[in-house]
Amino acid sequence: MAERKPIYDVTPVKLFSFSSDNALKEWEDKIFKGKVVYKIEKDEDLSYVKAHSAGSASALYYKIKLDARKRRPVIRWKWRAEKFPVKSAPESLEAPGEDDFAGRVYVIFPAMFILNSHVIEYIWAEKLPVGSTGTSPYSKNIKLMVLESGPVKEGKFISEERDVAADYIKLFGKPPQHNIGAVAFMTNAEHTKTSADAMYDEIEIGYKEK
Amino acid sequence: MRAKFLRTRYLTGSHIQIKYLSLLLISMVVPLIFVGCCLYYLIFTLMGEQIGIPEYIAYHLSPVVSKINVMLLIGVPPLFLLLTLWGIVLSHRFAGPLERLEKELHEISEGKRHKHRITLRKHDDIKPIADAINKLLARHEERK
Repeated sequence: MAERKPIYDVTPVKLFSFSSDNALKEWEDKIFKGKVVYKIEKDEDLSYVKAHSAGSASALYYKIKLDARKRRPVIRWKWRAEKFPVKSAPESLEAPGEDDFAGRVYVIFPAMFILNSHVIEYIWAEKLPVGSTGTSPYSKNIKLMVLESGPVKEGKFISEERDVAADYIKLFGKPPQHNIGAVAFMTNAEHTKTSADAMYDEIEIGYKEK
Repeated sequence: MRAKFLRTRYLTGSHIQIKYLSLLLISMVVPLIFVGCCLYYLIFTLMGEQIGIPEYIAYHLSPVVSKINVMLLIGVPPLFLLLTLWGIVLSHRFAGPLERLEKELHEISEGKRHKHRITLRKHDDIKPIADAINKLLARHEERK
């Protein structure tokens, strides 16, 4: 694993280690077009979620309440993109016709009226530069941020750690107006009708200690 | 003679009619808005929760919300106009006889009428009350 040292001291709220065979039972399947195969795989001492999309789009979704207005939520996870959706045009965060990515992690801030909900999406893209940000072609309330790009050498998992409120301010230009209500992850390739594979592991959600 | 008893003006602006009209409009419009808002909120919240994936919520629900908003913009003003007209008709039906009763009793008490009789329409709801008052007035005249 490509272990990046944690930056923040975090008070954990929920940890998904995906170590047992039924670890995905607490996640809701949100199916949009076809079903992405999410299954627990074990490789030596590792246990993770393997996602395989064959022209399909479905996400795993977990409802969790976190105070994003008064506290500093942090999300950590490990992931690895193996196969990227094949795009005919140069890759873009804002192209509705080819809005497929090998890996996405969502942090969702639900509003009273569902269309006013705000969302941060952390993306593993194929060619976009790391650090790229953009707005979803579907809604100005969905902001995307590229954390990783392209294949990784030696098939290593990459660790991520995000100060969600800081990212929210960077992307939306103001502090969160709503609390976090859910997290999700998705591998999709339904627009390009190709396939994509990614792995997810050790999703941890907590609060940054002062 | 008949024309004398016809109340042709539906909106008289009297305090009784305004009171009834306000009550009627409140009792019709407030539940309508409340139920409408609840349905609007519930349908989209439930649909949104069902879809789950933010992009697809935006992609699928936004056009539906826009269409419904246009339909509401077109449909709600005529609906409120109809409700208001219906409210005027109903409030006129309630308030008209009361106003007439009030006016005629006032004229009788001030001696402005030669014959002490209150005349209401046959189907007015308070016609029995007017008849009872007429009997009372007749008995009073006989004693004189």
